[in-house]
Amino acid sequence: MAKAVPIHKLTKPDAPLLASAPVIRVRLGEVWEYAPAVLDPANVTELHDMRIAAKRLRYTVELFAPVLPQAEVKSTLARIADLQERLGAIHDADGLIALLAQTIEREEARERKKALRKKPELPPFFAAEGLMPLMKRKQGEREALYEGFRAWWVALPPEAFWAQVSALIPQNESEPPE
Amino acid sequence: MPPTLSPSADPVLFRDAARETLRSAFDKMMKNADNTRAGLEKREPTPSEVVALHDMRVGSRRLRAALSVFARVFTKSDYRGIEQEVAAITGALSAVRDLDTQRETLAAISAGMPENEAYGVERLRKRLAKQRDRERETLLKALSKLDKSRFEKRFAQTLARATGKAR
Repeated sequence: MAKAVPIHKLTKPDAPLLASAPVIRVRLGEVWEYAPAVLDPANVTELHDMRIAAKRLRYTVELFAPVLPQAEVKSTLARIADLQERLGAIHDADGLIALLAQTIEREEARERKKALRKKPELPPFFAAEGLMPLMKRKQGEREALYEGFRAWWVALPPEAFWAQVSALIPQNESEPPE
Repeated sequence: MPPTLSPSADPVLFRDAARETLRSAFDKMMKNADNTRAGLEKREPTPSEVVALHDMRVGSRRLRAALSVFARVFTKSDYRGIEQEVAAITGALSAVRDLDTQRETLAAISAGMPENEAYGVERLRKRLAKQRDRERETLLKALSKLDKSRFEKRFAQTLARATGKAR
């Protein structure tokens, strides 16, 4: 899992809360780091890490919400939550697919072992009868979820996401890093 | 969302925000502790106990996020101690919650399947139930450790020391 960058050194404990708002940019940078990688559906780890980074960004924006422009905060939090939910659905599908694949392998090995005994003992059904079509179905759902996410992310476009979050921070940088 | 800070013409100070936000996040996490524990003491928790565990995990994550922002109001050793304790409980909550989510998903799937197809899914659910049994023991121990070490009281005292006002 992606480790959070320590942000406390950027805070100003003896100043107004708003003076520490630039920490939001650090959390935004953590999300941005995965922007190129998530354009490839095979990058399961990066898609998951971007979800975690988006969650940290949302929590951090919420902490500063009382001192930020309310209308902008609301729409920005909704946009981050949308990103998080889309990535969350992909992650849930990835987790279930991996679990099903592992279970099929494990159950087949167990069934084989039982069938090869001197007195073969077969289960009432083979586990793969249900697990295999379920896994195929989940793979199809995952593909659709990813395509939905990618189309949404590209259409934003990502630079607009950066600009929207950055606009909350006083003295913001409206251009994302290269 | 964080607590509403008192409206005033004066700017919200970092330390005041730290006190209000951390106290609120801590309370939100701990208010679900009893119901979470009740759900851990049996194999099949009720839906409200499952929700309590989920809410406690969300609360602990929010508390960790708040701690990472407001770290500088604490001394290094106070911060390290609290952060480690909250991280440990978050990890134990996550292990059980992830299994609850997977079991719920699989139960819904298997309910609509013919018997032969549901067989494998049910075997997987049983395996996850065994894993949950192990993880809930770990979480129960972690919660018990918080109780025995008077975590709630220590947190309140540490926060008061850090932000300059009694609870």
